[in-house]
Amino acid sequence: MLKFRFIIILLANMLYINAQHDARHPVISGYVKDVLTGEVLPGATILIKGISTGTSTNAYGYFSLSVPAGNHNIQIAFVGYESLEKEIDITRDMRIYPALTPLTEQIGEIEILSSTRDDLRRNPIMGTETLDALTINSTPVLFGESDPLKTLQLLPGISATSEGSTSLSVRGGDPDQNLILLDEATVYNAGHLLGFFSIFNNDAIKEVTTYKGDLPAYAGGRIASLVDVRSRDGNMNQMAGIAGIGIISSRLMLEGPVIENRASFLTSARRTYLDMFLPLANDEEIKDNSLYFYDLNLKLNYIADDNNRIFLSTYIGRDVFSNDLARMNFGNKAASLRWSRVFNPRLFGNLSLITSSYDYFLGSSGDEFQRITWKSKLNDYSLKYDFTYYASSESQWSFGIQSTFRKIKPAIITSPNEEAFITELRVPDSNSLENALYISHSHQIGDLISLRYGLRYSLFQNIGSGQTFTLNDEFTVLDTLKHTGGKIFNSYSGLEPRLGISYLISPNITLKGSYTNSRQYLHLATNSSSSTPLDVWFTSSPNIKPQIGHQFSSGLFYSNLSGIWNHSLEVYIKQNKNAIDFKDHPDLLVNEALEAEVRPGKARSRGIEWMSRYSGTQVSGWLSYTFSRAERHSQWINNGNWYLSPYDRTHDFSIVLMYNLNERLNISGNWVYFTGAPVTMPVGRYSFQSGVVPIYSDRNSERMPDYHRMDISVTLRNRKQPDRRWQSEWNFSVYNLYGRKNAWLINFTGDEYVKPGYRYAEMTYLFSIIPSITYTVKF
Amino acid sequence: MQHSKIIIISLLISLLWGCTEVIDLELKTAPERLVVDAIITNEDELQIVFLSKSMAYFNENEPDPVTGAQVSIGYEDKMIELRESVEHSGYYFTEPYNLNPRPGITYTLHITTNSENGHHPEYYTASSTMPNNVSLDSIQMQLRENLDVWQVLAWFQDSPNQKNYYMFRLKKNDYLFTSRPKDWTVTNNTFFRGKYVNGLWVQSISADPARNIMNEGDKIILAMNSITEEFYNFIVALQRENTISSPLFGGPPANTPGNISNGAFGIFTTMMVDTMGLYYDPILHD
Repeated sequence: MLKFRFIIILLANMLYINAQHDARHPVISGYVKDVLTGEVLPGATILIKGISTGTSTNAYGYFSLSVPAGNHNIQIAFVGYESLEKEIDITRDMRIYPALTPLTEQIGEIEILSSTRDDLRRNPIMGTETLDALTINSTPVLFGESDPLKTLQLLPGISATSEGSTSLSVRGGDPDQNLILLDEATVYNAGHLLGFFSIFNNDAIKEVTTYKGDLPAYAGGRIASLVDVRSRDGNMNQMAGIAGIGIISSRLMLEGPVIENRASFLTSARRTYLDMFLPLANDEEIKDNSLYFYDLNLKLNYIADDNNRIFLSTYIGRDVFSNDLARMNFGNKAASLRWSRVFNPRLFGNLSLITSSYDYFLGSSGDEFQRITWKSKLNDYSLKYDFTYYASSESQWSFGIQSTFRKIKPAIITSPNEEAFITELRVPDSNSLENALYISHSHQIGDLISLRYGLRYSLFQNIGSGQTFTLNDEFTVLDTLKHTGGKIFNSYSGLEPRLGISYLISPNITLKGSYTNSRQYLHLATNSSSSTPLDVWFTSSPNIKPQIGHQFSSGLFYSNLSGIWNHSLEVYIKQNKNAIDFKDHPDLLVNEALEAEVRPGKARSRGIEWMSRYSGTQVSGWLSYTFSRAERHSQWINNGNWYLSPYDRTHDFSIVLMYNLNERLNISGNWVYFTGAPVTMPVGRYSFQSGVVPIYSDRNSERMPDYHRMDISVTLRNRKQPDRRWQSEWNFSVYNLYGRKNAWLINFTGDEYVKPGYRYAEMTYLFSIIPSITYTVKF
Repeated sequence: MQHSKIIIISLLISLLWGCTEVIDLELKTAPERLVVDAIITNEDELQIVFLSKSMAYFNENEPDPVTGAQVSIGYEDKMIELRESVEHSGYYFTEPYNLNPRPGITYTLHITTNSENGHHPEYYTASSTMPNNVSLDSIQMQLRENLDVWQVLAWFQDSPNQKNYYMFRLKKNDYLFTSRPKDWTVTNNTFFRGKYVNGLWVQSISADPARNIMNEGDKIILAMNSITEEFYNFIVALQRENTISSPLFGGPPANTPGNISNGAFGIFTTMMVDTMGLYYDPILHD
């Protein structure tokens, strides 16, 4: 508690510091925006030439920089935009709203927008990558559906958990260790259609930033990574839109001003129509099936005055399946309301109210008298208040507070039929609060060293009504303790230090190092290597200690003077305490005492990541390679020996190339290769009552065949006509160009009736050559 | 419940565009171990224990029997020695009716293998307590056309205040129709604890016309077995390891959990059996 009070006092002091004024160092601050759309540009750099002082805009496009009073030449730059240079006489605090013009003539100048060169050198954060919507759009994808999470998988240290899946494993971590945020709202299941498509509709997305473990102090609650997805705010100047038709889905995005230059909206919708083809099927049984998903995004953005901006962002998405035996639907809902305020030029604050939910429903259709309905739901409500204090051009403080209340209803199973003998089954709800306070300081020491250090204090509380279990050494439930409503019956807390340092070895080369400590109180009960819609989240409790992650990383970064070539080499070591894994044959669905299935242990991973990126005007692309190992240990699993994580990939290589032949034609391609995933294979058999019973190897001691695949995509734009307000483009893409049969699973099967005891290995592959075509109109 | 889960999971799997291909795979082979296959029931005259050896996964031959072992079953203060069969090596059996299985009694199996081929004799043991008997009230059979099966339904009173485990098997005209463990239905009473079970779908018979399984007058016998939790877990795992796995619902496969000491595979279990029959009549049942 003392720690808590200390931090509060620290934060309070911070707020008072800003009252001081310094006439010799006036502050220039403002928002950088796109001249055409009025959309703010996060990550744009502001450089004061001559005194080589600079900064970059935050996620809301705001910057603040204190400079010596006098006449200055200010340069404002952002990748993909013409940079702006201005002479400004700064004698007192002033606000500017620079608007940058996009380089439309060279629309193909696509690259991963890490920060620009100067920023990259100074920033003591490591292992971050930012992707913008254009890059995401340019990489070839399955069924022509642009997908930010799949583009991320082409970066070093980030891999798909299984073929075609949007689930991510970051540096050998589990998928539930990634915090995926959509406009600050936690996304609990980022997959549609069993995870083959992500819930992010690229039309609504501004950019995706990933932190591979070196988490900024404002983020926490997950130990592997932060995937921060920010949606676009909507065009402030004029109505615009995008409409697209693809082979499995259609989409429409509309944006425009509500009040010119003051308020804007953006709305986008996407729906798949796989089921439209079902009535054409000859098979009577699937004619009445339905199978689709949809996404709706709505964003409102209001500039109240110079100092106050308000955003509302909402998302609803749902998958629906049904046939004559069963029906199922599931999806996420999220909403966030944010108020950004510039208290004074040095102090920027952002208050957010956020809610997010994920639920699923299952039911058997028809008149069957054992008919059931099965529901599961998770809701969260959060409050966040974040501040940035720009003390000087060398020193920046961030601090804030957040609190999340989470309610999980793991399963409610009922029978709608009166005569049914099925007892209503309700796995008790779980309520919890997750609170955090943080403070972080970025500090530039001289010209060569920058330092970032921060501290996060997190407090997790289980709240009644709820129940706890007393388990014996064999994880058998001995006793169940019920807790009354509103009572805090268990809590965990801890300090999470974060540290980063960057040292400029030469004008081209930077050496960085970092340490991150983070805690995770929420875990996903999944036993498969791919996300399923039925997975249930569960919180820490007296039996389930929080997962604690430590990560050390270090890297060398090279950027040539023009910024066209970037190379990086990073190494990392991760150690996790209280890692979650499950016993053999766990019962994870509809299990009151789910925590008795957990066999806690530890996990470790280490790796080397190399990336080389070229960002030319005609040709751009990157090459990435990861050499890594991820292991787990639990005294109750695999006879207490270390075993490989299912997400271990020894080698993971990808190459992405984009080539603009001319202003109408763009070709892009990628090739990926990685070591087959660790699996458990049979190493013997025995006979029981004339049935074959397999005997298995140690857990994950064998491997699937190696995976590789090449995709290409060609985009053809229509000829530009000055009198036409709309532009259209055709996109042709082929997924898995050379038809590699990548094993998704290996099964052992045989026909008991024909030849008892005979077994053979059969591999299932999901996608052979998949061509697709998409037509998009922008207006 | 088991059925609902299977339906839902197969619905999801059917959505995938998967294609399959037979592949050549070299598998390692674990060292040979003893396998025990022993089920004690109130129904059998002779209780049989079958001992064999584990083998390579792709070896499709009958397992090698383990001969010359000393096998006995103890309960209360008695010890029954089993004799090895002359015609069927690896099979050990009791004298008719000398075990007299009753609910609540704990039976312990003792096995000592012989020392031939330079092996040391090894001792293995396992125990099982006979579950309480639950009797069938009635059974029924009905055609479900959309699933192409006859459902066999059971009515019975579940005993209250305890976890019960059931296994259902079918005989057709005295021939064990569900001969292999993968065809057995097992369930616990989570969904009907202490209730009167009102027509639970417990077994299925294919109604595929091509297979022409049911003819008028055929006798169907349903055996409801009250089983131990240990055996329930064993069969659930065994069935899981014999059905299609997938990254979506699989999870890592694992060995079927038995109860034999000293690292042997298989299980020694007890079960109470109650049976009831009906004669198939197309007018009534289709």
